[in-house]
Amino acid sequence: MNHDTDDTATDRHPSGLHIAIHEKRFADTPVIGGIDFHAESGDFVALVGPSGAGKSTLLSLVAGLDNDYDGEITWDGAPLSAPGHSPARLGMMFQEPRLMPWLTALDNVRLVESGRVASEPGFTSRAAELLDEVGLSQAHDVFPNHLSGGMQRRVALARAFTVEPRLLLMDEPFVSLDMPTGNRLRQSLLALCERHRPLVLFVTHDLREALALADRILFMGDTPARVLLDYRVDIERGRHLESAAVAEAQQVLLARHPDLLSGILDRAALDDNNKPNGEDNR
Amino acid sequence: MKSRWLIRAASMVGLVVLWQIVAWIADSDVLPTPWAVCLSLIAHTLSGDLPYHLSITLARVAVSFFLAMAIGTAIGIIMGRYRQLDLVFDGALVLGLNIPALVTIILCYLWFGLNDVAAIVAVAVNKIPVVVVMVREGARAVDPKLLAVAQAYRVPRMVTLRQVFLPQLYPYLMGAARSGLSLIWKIVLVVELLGRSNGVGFQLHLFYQFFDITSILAYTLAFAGVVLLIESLVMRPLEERLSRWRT
Repeated sequence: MNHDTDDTATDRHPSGLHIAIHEKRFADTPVIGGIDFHAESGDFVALVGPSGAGKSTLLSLVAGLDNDYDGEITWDGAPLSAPGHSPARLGMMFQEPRLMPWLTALDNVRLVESGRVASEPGFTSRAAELLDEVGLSQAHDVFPNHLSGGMQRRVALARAFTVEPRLLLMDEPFVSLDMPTGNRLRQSLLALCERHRPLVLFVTHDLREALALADRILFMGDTPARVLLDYRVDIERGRHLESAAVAEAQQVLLARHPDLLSGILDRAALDDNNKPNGEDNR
Repeated sequence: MKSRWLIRAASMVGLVVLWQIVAWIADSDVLPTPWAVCLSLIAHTLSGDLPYHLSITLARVAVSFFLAMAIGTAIGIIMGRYRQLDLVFDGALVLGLNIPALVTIILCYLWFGLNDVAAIVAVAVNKIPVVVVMVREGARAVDPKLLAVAQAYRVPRMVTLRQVFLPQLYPYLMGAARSGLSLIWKIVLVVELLGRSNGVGFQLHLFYQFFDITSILAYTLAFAGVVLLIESLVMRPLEERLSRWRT
């Protein structure tokens, strides 16, 4: 896989996601400065940084929830939220499960299919199958109020994959879950990703979670936010939060950039380590 | 469930007993006993005039109710969602809320003539501002986080309205429907009294001129029966269905 992030020419990247944001402001305060990166279909990219580093904002721009910014986000060369242009099939998980409390688990999942049900004759729903797959075969007709926090996230996970996403946006989806529940959900996520191969943008402030899940980590920070470091994760698949390799990678990374997680990067260290192609850990 | 019905029935019986006792003590033409009213009710029903006038009144109530709910809900959602339009219409809304029902009724009859269109418009105009205020409150409280889900997944607009937006308004719509129905009952009778030659309001006016208190109470009783029926057969089951997920 190729990650030459210093390349801004969209036409050289006909496939995948290209993000080139010059500036995003809330009122008069710039929150995102220059962000420019490209990711290929099938990549698992984590966005890591302190709170307020514009990670969630960036995600909502990609999701098309906010079109008020200066820049361009394209998918396979076409603007992602262009009207009339069929967007990439897009799944999204938020910090909260965000299920409709008046819809059963199954109806919650089916809700996001309604566009395709209307436009694709002979469309067969995979909602029930996906609920089974995330371990909720007994809970199809249960209202979210009667589901535990972990089960609600499972419904949200099934919902995200029922659109057969090519682009999956995750905004700290497993935050505030206990360790075993979170780990089971992460395993489910990786298993589903393995099969559907979406491009994942995964926002987290937990470096270990990023190291355990992602192929590539973009560290964000500074005000207005920008990408401080584009880091490639070279650990074998099958890793999890407690893997020794993950802990070791975390140690090496933090030793080299002690203030990385607070959104400050030592310029000297950056120049030393950040090779022209942005892959600093070879 | 069963004991709830028992309590409701017992309180009704208690009211009738109280009425009987007062009528007994007063022993006067101006307060007939429940039994006399009951007989009058049966007589009016058998003669066919009560079913006729009652059904006409019900039709007027139904039409103006649905008209007021539809228009009031639409305006309420728009005012709740768009700040600018809210400012534009707020003055008119306050005015609409406070114009006496009698004024709108008289004006409608003068402008549109003594017909059913004028009657229904008058009732609806009285009701719409109340619906707008309640629905606007609901539309303001709609959770933007849930709307963001629909937007991110490109859920079609109509589906979003039906399955994401409106369910959040249901409690407000139920409240508006309840208070609306009770208001409309009352206004429809006044409208009929002032400018129609049929309906329960017209009949009550007639009995008033004949000093026929027993018939007035008989019609009132029939009316109350219909109200209770609608409450228990339509409103309450609907509310239970819509709030099923809360349990």
